[in-house]
Amino acid sequence: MHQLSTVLLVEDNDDDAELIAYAFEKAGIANPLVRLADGEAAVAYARGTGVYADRDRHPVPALILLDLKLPRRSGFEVLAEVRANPSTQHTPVVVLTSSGQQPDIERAYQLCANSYLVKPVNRDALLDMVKALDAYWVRLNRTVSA
Amino acid sequence: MPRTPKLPSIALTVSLLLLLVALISIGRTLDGVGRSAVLVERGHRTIEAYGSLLSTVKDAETGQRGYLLTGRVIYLQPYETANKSLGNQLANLRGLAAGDPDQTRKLSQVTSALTDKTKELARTVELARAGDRAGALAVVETNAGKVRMDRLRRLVGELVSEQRSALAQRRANFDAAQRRALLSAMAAAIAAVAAALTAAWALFRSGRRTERRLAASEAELSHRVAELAAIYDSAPVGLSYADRDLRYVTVNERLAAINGRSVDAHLGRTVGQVAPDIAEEVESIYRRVIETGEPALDVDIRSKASTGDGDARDYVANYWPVRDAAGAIIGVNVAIIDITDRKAAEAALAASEARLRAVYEAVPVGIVTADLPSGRITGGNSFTGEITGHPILLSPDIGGYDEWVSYHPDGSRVAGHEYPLARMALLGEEAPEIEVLYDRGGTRRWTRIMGRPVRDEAGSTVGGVVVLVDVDELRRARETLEQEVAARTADLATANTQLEAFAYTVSHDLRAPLRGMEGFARILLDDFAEALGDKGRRYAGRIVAAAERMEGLISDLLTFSRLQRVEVSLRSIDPSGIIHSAIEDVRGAPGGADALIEVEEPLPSVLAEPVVLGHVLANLLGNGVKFRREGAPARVRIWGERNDERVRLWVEDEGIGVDQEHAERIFGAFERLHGQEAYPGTGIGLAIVRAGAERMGGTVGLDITAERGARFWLELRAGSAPHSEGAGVG
Repeated sequence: MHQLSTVLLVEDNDDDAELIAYAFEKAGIANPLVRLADGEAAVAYARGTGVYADRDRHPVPALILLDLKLPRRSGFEVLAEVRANPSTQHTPVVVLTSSGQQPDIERAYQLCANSYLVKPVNRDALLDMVKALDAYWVRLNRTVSA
Repeated sequence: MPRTPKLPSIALTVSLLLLLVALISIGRTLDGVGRSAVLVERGHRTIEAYGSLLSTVKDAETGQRGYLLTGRVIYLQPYETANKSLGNQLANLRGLAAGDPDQTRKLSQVTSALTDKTKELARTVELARAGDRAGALAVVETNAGKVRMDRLRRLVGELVSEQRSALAQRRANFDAAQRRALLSAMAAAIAAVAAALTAAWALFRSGRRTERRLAASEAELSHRVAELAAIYDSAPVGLSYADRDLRYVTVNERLAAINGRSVDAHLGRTVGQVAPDIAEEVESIYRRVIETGEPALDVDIRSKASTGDGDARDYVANYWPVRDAAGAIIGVNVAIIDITDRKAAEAALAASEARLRAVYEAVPVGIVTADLPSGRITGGNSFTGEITGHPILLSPDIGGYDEWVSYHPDGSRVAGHEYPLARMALLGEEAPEIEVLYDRGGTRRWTRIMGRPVRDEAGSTVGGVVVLVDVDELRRARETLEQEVAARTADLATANTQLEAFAYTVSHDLRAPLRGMEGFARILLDDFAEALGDKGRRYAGRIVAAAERMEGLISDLLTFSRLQRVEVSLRSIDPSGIIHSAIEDVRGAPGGADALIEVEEPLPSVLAEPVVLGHVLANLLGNGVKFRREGAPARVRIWGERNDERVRLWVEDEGIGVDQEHAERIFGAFERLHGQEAYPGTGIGLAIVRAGAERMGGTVGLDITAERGARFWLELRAGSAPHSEGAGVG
């Protein structure tokens, strides 16, 4: 295993981002976690445009954790762009949001999200969730190679 | 009965006919007997005559012989006598043979034989006279005389013998005829006697009948008279007869009552004496009738005679002149009827009609009446003209309705058959209605026309009434209202959307900081516990607890607000599954692991929405476990019962219970009875329970009769799934 694949976290809330990063660290997940704070940046990263044009420095992620409520461009727009973009069209996207609203869940799956998770408030629950994500999406799941 | 009177006449006729037949038969028989007697007598005489003839011829021969032998003239005398009588005897025989051809023929043979004989005798006698006695005897000696005599004898013998046998035959016929005559006479006698008896019997019968009939008609007559008398007495019409002096001769009870006196008090008294208050008026009528001979009919009379000093009563009377056989007027017949009640009823009817008419004209609606099924318009009130903008058209039939002028909203004319009256007549509609536009002074106004049937006593529709109501303002108000409702609905939809956006914000934005608080506080506790010290760790723990409470609050609030807005579609559900998953949740929650929860299954099926029912039951169950008595394990029992179309699910615990005075308050949001420390909670649980129950068309309540603990019930409509019956309290 020369280089561990990247996990992309699209999350505008610094607290949440830090807690998730803490959970990754606490769970012993060594994969690089790239955090983007707004939708526009996420779209650019997925397309590999602008500052993210260099795929060596900014590789196509093995997993995208996507919040829905984002500045500039919403999580749904990001999801649509990810799926429209050939290099990321098969990349697993797990929606990770604080909204458990049914319309949001339906829309996410319509846009081909792979999974939909509600952020746990409880820290221990968050830790469990991150461990499960890693186990399933990063270690077990096989996807089309880019 | 109608046949019997004919019997005697038939019997009589039959017997008379029999008698006639018998008499004819006797007549004919007697006639036969008569003729037979004549023939017999003639036969006897014929036989006698032939005997005599033969004897005469013998006498002549004897005389001839004597003379011839003796020559003495004396012997010629018998000869001469016989010769003389022979002619007469032959004539007599010819008379007897008249009408009998056979006998006449034989008689001529006899005559010829006789002539031969007499000639022979005469020749011999002549010879003897001439003196030739010998010659004459010689002739006799020739025996020719004897031959002739024998021939004569033979002919006469044949004749006599024929006559004898004919006579015997006639005697037999005569006897038979005599017997027939006797029989006929006897039959006639019997028939006559029978006829006489029948006629007598018939006459007797008819006599009896006539007697009875007379008696019956007499009884009938007296019955009729009695009947007429009864009618006369009891008739509801006053009847009287007075003579020319105006004195009452006969009066019936009714008339007596009308005059307020007894019948006897009338007889012999004058009209004026009996009813003084109307004497003048009535007597002048009587006199006019007597004078003119013309009846006075339908005379109105008003009298107090029957009531004394009471109210006068109204009568109508007819006066008829009564004439004797010669045509002279001998008195007056009066018939009088009390019409007070009728007049009162007429007056009442008129008053009622006037009232109805006033209402009819006063109401601010058009009223039109028609005959059905013809549709002929019979009338309408004057407001109809106002409301329709034109006078009422008295159409004779439904076809005439096409001339009425009203409009549909699109401006087209309303056709005749669309009006309620036409629909009642043509389609048999019971209460047709239509809203049309009438042109009233240039503006078209909405008018509702409502038809209702008019029925006869048998219940068949014989007419129709239509009511025309100006609903223009109502229509416009309704349209305005509809617009307002649409606008409000749109506003509400907007508000709802906003509320959803708010709920989203709450769930998303309020939770984010909480996660931070809780997450970082825990990191402090986990990774920096040493550095924090005891106090620091306690405070960090408080932050975690506060964050968890807030999370519970937000979660309950979201559930509560979602319950108010969510579309609930009910279906039949067996609540067992939902209860068991709620039990699992409760057991997983803090302090729930050791709860003793008992479900009495099967449970009756209910009409519910699974998610909402889940919230409701989880909260009830959670409460039962949460509000346990200190030091005792939570004990909750769940059961169901069905009452017709409703099902009650009961949740009973043995916890601290609820005081009666709080029974209603506990279902309000943020109502708390206990401190956060003792029984942590958001104060929204039972509000969720009530909202959820109500969204599913149910109710929820607390049974305050429970002796210990709390006993809640949730009542929902019964579902149709299995377990819908037989479940109940064990």
